[in-house]
Amino acid sequence: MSKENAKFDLVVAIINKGFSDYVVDAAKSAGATGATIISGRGMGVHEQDSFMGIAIQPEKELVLVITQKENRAKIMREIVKQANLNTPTKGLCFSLPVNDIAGITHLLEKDKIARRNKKRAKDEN
Amino acid sequence: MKKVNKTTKKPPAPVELLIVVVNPAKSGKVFEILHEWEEKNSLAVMGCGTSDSNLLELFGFGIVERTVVMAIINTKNGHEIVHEIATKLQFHTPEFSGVAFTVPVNSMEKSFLKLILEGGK
Repeated sequence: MSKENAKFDLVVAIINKGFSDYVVDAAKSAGATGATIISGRGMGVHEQDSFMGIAIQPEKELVLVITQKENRAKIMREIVKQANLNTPTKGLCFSLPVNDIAGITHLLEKDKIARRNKKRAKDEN
Repeated sequence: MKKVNKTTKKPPAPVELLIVVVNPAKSGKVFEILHEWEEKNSLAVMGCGTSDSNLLELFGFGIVERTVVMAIINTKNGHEIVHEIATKLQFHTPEFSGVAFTVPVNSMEKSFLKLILEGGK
């Protein structure tokens, strides 16, 4: 477990409720194998609104994606592009480093297969 | 003018954020393990996971319920806690059982930090 630990990042995208599918599809198209979605409420300055004295807090979804370090930038770029995060009200995306990780057998297997195929292609050439 | 030594490495943060994504039925086990390690600052939120199978998504089973457990834990216990969770909840099995990872914490309020560092094994 210790050798693989330094190779992963957590990408977090906070987006308006209902748009998490765009984020997940974007992440998958860039190489992510899955995501976890949790609900939240927006408390940002530009999101505070009221209707007849009643405060309105927009519902948000947080999309968490574990990815290898080399794919992180690509996944974030795709999320920003496909989910339109570069508009003022659509949300934000950031990444955090991961110290220790377990339960990513499927990611490691995929990585192993990709490296083996790359080596085979190189040997054939 | 004082010279800044850029090569000096910062010491690791004393606490980190543990995040465990697991089936709701197994979330109790995660809390048991945290309790054994005397890590009492935890929170569970409901979430959804995505399936890797296009076929399951076609039949509407693409989204599965998950519980996301978050806890602020002592960094020195982090590796062992992640390993214990992975072992006891059998994350090594081919079917998706969950994922556990830790994220470093940059800063924290002093009294809460003291509480966390004084607790734990």
